Amino acid sequence: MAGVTVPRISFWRTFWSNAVFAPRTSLGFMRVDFVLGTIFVIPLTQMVFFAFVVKLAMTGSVAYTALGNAVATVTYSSVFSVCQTTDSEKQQGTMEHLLVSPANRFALYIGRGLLPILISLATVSVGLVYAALLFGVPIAASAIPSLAVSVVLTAFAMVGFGLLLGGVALYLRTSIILGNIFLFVGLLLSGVNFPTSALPAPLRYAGDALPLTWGLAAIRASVANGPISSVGLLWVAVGLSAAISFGAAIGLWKVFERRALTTGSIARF
Amino acid sequence: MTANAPAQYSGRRSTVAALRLSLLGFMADPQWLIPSMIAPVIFGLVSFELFQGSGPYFLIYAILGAGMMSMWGQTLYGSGWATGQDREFGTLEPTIQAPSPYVYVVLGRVLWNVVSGLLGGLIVLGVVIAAAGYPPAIPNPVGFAVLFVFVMLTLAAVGVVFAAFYVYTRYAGFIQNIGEFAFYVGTGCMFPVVLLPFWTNPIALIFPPTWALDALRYLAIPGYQGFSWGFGWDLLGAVGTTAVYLAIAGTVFHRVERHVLEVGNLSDY
Amino acid sequence: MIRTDLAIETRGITREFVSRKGFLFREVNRTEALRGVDLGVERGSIFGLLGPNGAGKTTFVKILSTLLVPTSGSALVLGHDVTKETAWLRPRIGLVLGGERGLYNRISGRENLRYFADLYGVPTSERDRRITELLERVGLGAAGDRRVEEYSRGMKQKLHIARGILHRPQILFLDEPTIGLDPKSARETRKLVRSLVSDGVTIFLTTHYMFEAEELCPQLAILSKGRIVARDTVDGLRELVGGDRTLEAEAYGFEDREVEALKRLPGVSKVVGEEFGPTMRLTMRVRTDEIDADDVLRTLPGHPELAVKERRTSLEDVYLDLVEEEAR
Repeated sequence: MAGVTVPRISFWRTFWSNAVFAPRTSLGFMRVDFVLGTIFVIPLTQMVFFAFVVKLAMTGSVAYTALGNAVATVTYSSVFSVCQTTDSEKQQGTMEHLLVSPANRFALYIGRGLLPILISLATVSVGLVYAALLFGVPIAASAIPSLAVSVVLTAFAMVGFGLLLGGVALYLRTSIILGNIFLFVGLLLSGVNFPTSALPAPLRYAGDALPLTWGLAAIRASVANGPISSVGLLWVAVGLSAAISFGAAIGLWKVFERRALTTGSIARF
Repeated sequence: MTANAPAQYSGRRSTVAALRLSLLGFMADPQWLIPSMIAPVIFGLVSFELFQGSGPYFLIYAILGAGMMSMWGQTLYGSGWATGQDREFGTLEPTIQAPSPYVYVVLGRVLWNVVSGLLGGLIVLGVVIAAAGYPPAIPNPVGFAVLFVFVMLTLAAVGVVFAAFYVYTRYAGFIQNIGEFAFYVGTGCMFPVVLLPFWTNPIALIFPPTWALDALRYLAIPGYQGFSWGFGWDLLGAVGTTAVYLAIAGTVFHRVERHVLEVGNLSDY
Repeated sequence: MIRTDLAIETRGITREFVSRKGFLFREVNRTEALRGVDLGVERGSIFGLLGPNGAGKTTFVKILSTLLVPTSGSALVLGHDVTKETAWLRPRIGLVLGGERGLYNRISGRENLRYFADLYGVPTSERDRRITELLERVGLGAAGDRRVEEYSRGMKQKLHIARGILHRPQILFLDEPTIGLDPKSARETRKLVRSLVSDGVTIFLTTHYMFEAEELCPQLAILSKGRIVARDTVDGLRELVGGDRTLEAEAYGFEDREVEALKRLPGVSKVVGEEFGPTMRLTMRVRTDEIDADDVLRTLPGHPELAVKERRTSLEDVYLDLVEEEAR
């Protein structure tokens, strides 16, 4: 219609509205006590669990396992919760309304990842504190700057990975299945409880495809106060992993969106 | 059946109906096969790697540990999760409104989860044997198999009562996620409860699987040192606590149903 | 004293919902959905409950069907207490809440019915035949074996209805049963409802469709803001709002003296003005046959564009009058 102006939708507006609003639509983020439970309880119980397994088996290092699990628990707040948010949109019937809107998809998805990134940062940080105080993981003060960079990069990479899996929900009925799988896969392939060198080559390569593997390696190197040259290489790896995850997430969301609109699976859950 | 004499529901029939519905739902959506099969494989490999080299009976520890990890999620939480799905689908209201008490529906689902949990256990067995290259030497294989199934039933009994929590509140899933590893720790899933600080033992003994699993280890592992009272009392304790859980399940559900009808949150999801 | 001729008897039913928000300093919100509902419904009849959105209709239906406990008051269905005798009542009650949810989407309509037939104890010898009969009856004969997620909204609604009557209830609660149905399906549903009454089933129906309530319900109540504001036959309700005739006069505005003049006309019980863009419409409820459109035209001489219509007071008129009065 001549003379009718269609309003321009600002990228940042879409970003912030999704960052602030979207988490409130998901049950897991609605209550502060659940968020606190995710940050403070899950790392501790998972670390205690595997620490006792190692203690019984007497074949590994409690400190090694504790540090690995401290970082691995980031999977709950990144991968799992992002998948849950996507599924929740489908169940509530709001996914179609999101997709029919003209909002910038990049801003939409990245915005939705902001709170999970913050919670992931908090979860890993708390896990590291537990590791140092309760499980004998030595973290020197001089290692903290390097550790901070490693933790931030890992949180970003994991949330990107979560967004990638969440996009699958547009096409499949649900992405929680994938979230569930990757909760466990990390335990095996990412060097959480034992070095990846113990794995057969095919599994090692599979582990290399996971952001958690590189993130955990970077965090271990930081804790060990390794030289910046070697830690830096791992940062590049994690950063690349994050970039690939986010990029693939955005790309795949577009592909899956198209697929879902063609097959009509948007409304199916 | 006439308008003056309504049909009588049957607990057995409702249980079978729920079991059948679970099977139909699974066949309609077999994507859940993936985590049901992949998770046991992962747990089997992780467990094998952790226990490797820890002694002559490490294979049995690995099998039991991984088997429990994969089965417990399935059996213990599967029925609760299905109740959570009832909330999301809006089918909780019509099911509660039906004359058949909801506990029979849960029982049917739990039975399905026991079956799928046992399949997971078989997968673990296969994976660990394949990784080791030889089968474990179990002194009493028939007794082991029977007691293994009994352990599943003790889990199922707890699962029935846990499912009431999902009727009680829509937040049950999040609380479960937060408490999952704590439950695994406290009930001796991968390692004997006696390794934990003694003050945790009374809490652990509230749960039937704690007793049953200790009995299973006594049966399968020569020289095993679990609870000081030994195999016989473990078995009695398992039977007794399971009976208590089953006995209280009906009352728990009745009270929870009454509560949700008073609060009016049956349709919340 | 229990009146055995009543299918439903409620006294002073109230229902409050409490919600809490916040973490450290929790804000508590209380909503009074029902504020003292007294109602009696005879057995073997169709009773309609009308009311605006948020009036408390669904809350009331859920209390009567044992899905909600009232905050205070008593409710008897078929002579039995809805909170204390749920085991007796549930086999005898059918409930149709309708909507997009409430069905297992991943299995077929037939499987949905089979599952609930088992929960309700429909004899196995009869079950499959009954399911097939019901699917045909509600117009899902061809779609019965398709997954519910492939159903349209109207088809889901039909399946809800089939489930509600699967176990041959003595009393059936229908919460907006024809919502989402095309006119043909809606008419068939109304025909089905009437046939159930002839089988001796009591029907308690909530609806927004006035013609449906008028067509089906010899007795009606109007619920507004948690209270019954009127209860009678349709004709009785017409009298309540001032007469079963309505005259409407429309022009480009009227003066107050003109409105007063209309009010003084014999038999006119109410005059209400409403704006429609540039025009104004005056609606008059008239109790008697003493005046007609010509009398209105004579009373309003200064309006060459004036149009006057006469019609029967509809149930919608009654509903709007009562609900708006309650709102005031």
